[in-house]
Amino acid sequence: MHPTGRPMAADPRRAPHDWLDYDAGPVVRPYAVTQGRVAPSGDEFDLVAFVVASGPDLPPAPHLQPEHHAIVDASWEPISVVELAAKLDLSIGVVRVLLGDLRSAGLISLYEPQAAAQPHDVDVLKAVVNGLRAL
Amino acid sequence: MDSVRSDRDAAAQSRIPVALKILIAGGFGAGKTTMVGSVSEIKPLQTEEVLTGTDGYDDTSGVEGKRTTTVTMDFGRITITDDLQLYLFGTPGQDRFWFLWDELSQGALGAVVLADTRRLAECFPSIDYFEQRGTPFVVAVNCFDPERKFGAEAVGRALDLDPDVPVVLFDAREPHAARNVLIELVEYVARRQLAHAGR
Repeated sequence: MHPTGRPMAADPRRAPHDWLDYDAGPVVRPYAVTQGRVAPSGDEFDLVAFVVASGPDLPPAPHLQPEHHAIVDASWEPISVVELAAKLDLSIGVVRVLLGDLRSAGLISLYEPQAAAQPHDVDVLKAVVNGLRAL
Repeated sequence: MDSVRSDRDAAAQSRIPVALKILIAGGFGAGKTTMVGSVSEIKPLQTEEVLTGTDGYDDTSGVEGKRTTTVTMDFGRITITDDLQLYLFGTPGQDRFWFLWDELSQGALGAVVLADTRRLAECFPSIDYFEQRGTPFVVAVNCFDPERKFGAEAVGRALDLDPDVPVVLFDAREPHAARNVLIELVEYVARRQLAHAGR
């Protein structure tokens, strides 16, 4: 499952120049994808908030970038914000801005982590301990 | 239309796992990346937070002073059941990224502070931080070097920890040992919770 929406130019491994290897970093500056926006529209969301694509009957959204489409493609099954960033090789800040756009366009839903509020349920903690022991 | 939509939302919501965050902190080279890697079921991923800030003085024009910094965070995942997942975050080491810790600690279950007995003082800032925030933590002493073993109690005393804060000796490269540290942490959090409820 390779992200399909990645712009070719941003992948230096494909570049023919030996002076521009993967370690040199992306040739497109990170926030170019968001047109310089650093904060998402709407509410902030957690690193472990889950993203789910809204469904196959998506409204047309011609203004979206390839990275937006890559996010939608990666979120048919619930996926956390941090995992999405790692999977698409985009920084968290950039992913947040793009998720804000997609949420405004009604293309994804965002769910805050259910157990983010303290205190944690002792039954959940017991389940975690048992699960870890069983690994 | 609306009911179709809300049905679908409800269906999606039911597929959302409970996600618990655990932070892995400690000084530079204490083994954070190693620990995340040894217990994570997915290849530990590094993700970047690109920060935009000023050079430390107020720049009224607002543009010239801006710089971006990239901070790399390690993260890993352990699936307990289909609807329960643990997320491990290796906290960025440098002090100037404290504010990122604030976000990471928001709603976190607890933290593992990794200590290296050769450089014990390097974990002081992490301990101070979690003590101040009231985030439950355990101290895990990463024993790379079998020659230099200290007892858990001696480390606890040297760090001036609260007597009920667990201190464990382990090897971050061993998945089982790293897993046991997580168990220790979660059990400690549960004990604290019960003690709190009983009061």
